[in-house]
Amino acid sequence: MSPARGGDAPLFSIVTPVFDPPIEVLEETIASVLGQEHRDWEWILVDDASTDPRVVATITRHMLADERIRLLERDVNGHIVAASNDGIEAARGEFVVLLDHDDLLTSDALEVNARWIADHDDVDYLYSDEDKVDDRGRTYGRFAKPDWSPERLRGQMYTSHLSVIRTSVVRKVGGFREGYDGSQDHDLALRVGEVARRVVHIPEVLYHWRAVAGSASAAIDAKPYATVAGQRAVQDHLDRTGVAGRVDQGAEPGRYVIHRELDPGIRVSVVIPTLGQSDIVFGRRRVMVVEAVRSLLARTRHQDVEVVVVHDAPTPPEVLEQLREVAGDRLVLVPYAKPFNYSEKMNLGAVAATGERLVLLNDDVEVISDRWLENLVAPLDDPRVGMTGAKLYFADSTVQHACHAYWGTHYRHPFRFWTRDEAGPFGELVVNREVSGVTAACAAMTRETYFEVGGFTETLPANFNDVDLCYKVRHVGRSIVWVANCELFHFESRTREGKAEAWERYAVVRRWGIPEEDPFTPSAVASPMIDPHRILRERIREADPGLRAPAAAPPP
Amino acid sequence: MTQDATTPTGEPEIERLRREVAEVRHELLLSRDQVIGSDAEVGRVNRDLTRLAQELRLTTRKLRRTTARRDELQQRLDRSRTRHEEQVKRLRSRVAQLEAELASAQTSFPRRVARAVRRRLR
Repeated sequence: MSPARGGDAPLFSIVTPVFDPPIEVLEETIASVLGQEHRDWEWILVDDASTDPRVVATITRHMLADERIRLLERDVNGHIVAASNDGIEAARGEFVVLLDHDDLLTSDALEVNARWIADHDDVDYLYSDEDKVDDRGRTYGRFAKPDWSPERLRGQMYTSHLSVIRTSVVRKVGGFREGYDGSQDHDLALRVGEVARRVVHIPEVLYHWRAVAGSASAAIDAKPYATVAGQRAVQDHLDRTGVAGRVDQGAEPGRYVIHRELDPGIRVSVVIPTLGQSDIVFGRRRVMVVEAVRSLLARTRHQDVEVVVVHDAPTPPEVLEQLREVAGDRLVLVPYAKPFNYSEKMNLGAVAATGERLVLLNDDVEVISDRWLENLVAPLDDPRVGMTGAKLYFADSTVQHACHAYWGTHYRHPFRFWTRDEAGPFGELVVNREVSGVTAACAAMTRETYFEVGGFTETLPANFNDVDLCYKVRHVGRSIVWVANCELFHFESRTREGKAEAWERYAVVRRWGIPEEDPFTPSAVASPMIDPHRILRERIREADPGLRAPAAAPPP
Repeated sequence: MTQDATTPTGEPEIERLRREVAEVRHELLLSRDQVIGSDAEVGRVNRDLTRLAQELRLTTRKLRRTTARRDELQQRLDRSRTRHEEQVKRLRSRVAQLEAELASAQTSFPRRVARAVRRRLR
C-alpha cells in the first residue's frame, strides 16, 4: 500500500450529528479527531437542538481553537437523518466520514483511509473493522469484517463504522432518507453499494464504538423501530435491484431473512450420486437416496425439477424402483460402472441433466427447510453469483457446514458444532453471505458456470474436489453465496468412509495455494480461540515435514 | 414413467448421437478443467515467483548491506592488527632498550668485592 501523498491527499469531511451527549464523552470524541495523524480534514458538527447548553459551548470552544471545526446549529430537533443530511450538504471534502457524537476514531483512521484511496482512485466507499469501547475506555468485541459482500449487506448492516463515502456518491443517491431512522445507515449503504464503482474493506480497527446504555452498539433491540426500518430498507433495495423476494425479520434484531422467488420457467436439475445404501437414521432404517429425493421434492413448490441419479452398478434394483415411485417422470437414471470417482459421477450427471440450474446433492441428506430450492437457486439469477451452498446439520442438529474458509495452512469448516438456534459471532449463521467456498454435499450452480469451469476435477475422486470447484468459480470472477435459510441434515459419511489423503490436499494446494487470511470469514471470526503457536507449528511442519516443530508449551 | 439415460429408445441412431454428444460434453468438461487448473497453477507459481523475487530483492539488499559491513569491519580489524603489531614491535624494542640500560646500570661483582674490602680495611 502506498503512503498517502501529501499533495494528492483527499480532504475528509467528518460529519457528526450531535444531540445531548455527555460532555466528557463528547470531549473524548473531539480529542480523537484532533489527534488525527492526517491533517487534511474538516469536521462538521451538527447540533440537533441539544437541550444541554454545554454541548454548543464545548463545540464552540474547540471551533475557536481550530478553524477546521465547523458548527451548524439546527433550530428544531430533526433527528439523525435531518442532522446528518445538513452536515453532508455543508461538506466541502472529497469524502464524507460518518462519526457518531460519542464514538472514537483511532489516531490513524484518516491516514489509513487516505492510503487506500491513493491506491484505488476509483473507490467510492471504504469501510473498516471496528470494536467497542466501554465506559472505562477498554476496547473489546472486535468485528473482523468480510471483504465487500453485497449479499451479506442485505442480511445485516455489517459495514457500519467506520464508513467513508465519496461525497459526490452520497449526494447522488440523495443522502440519508427520512423514515428510516435507526437503520438510516443501512439504507444508505445499500443505495451506495448499488452505484459504487469500487467498495474497499480495510481490515484494521479504525473505530471504537461506545457501548453505553441506549446506544445502538449496546443493544439494537433498545430501538425496535430500527429493525422495522431496516427490513423496509432491504425490501426497497430488492425492489430497486429487481430481486424477486420478500424480507422478514431474522433470528435476532438487525438480521434479515430473504425469501426468494424462483422463476417457474427455470428447470432445475438435482444431480445425486449414489450406491443405493441403507442406514439407520433417527432409529429407523432408510434407503438414503430415496429419502433424500423424497424430502427434496416435498420441500419445494418449484415444479420444473429434474432428479438425475448417477448410480453405481451394484445399486440394488429395488432402490431404483423406489426412486421411480418417488420421483416419477422427473427421474433420470445414469448408470456408472467404474471404480468410485465422485467427480466423474457428478460430471456425468451434469452432462445428462437438461436444467439451466444444477443442484449438486449428496444422497445422505434430508431437506428440512421449506422452499429450500427457491432460496438456494434463485441467487444464481444474479450473473455475478456463480455458486450457492446450504446450511447442513449433523443428526444431532449441530452445524456440520456453514461455509468453507481457506487460510493459514488449511481448508476449513468453520462454525462446526454450533447449535441450530445460534446466530454465530456476528450473525454468520443466520444471514446469507459471500464465502470462499461451500461443500458440494448441497450446492447449486448455473449450467453455464459449471461448464465454464469444467465441473469437478476428476483427478480428485473423493476429497477436496469441492474446494477445487469453488476456487474455479471464483477464478472466473464469480462469487459464492452461502444461503442460511436452505437447511438440510447431512448424515455425513454414513454412505462412505471419509478419510482425506495428503496427496489430495496437495493437489489443490499445488493449483491454488492457501491464502494467509480468508477474505470473507476471517480467522478471528472463524476460529477466535485458535492458538497462534499451533498455527506456527503447523506452518513449520508444512514447510518441512521432516523437521521437528517446537513442542507446545506446557499448560500453566 | 422414467427416462432412463441408457435405455434404448427404439431409435438407435438418435440414441447413438445422444451418447456421442454426452461423451463430447464430458470431454469438454475434462479439457476445461485442465485448462483452468493449468491457468491456476501458472497464476499460483507466478504469485510465488513474485513473492520470492521480493524476498530475493530484500535478501540481496540485506546481503549487500551485510557484506559492506563485513568489509568495513575487516578493514577496521586489519588496521587494528597493524597498529597492534607496530605497538608490539615498539614495545619489544623499548623493553630491549630498557634491559640494556638496566644491565649497564647494574654494578659489577669485582667492584662490589673491592668496595667491601676497602670498607673493612678502614
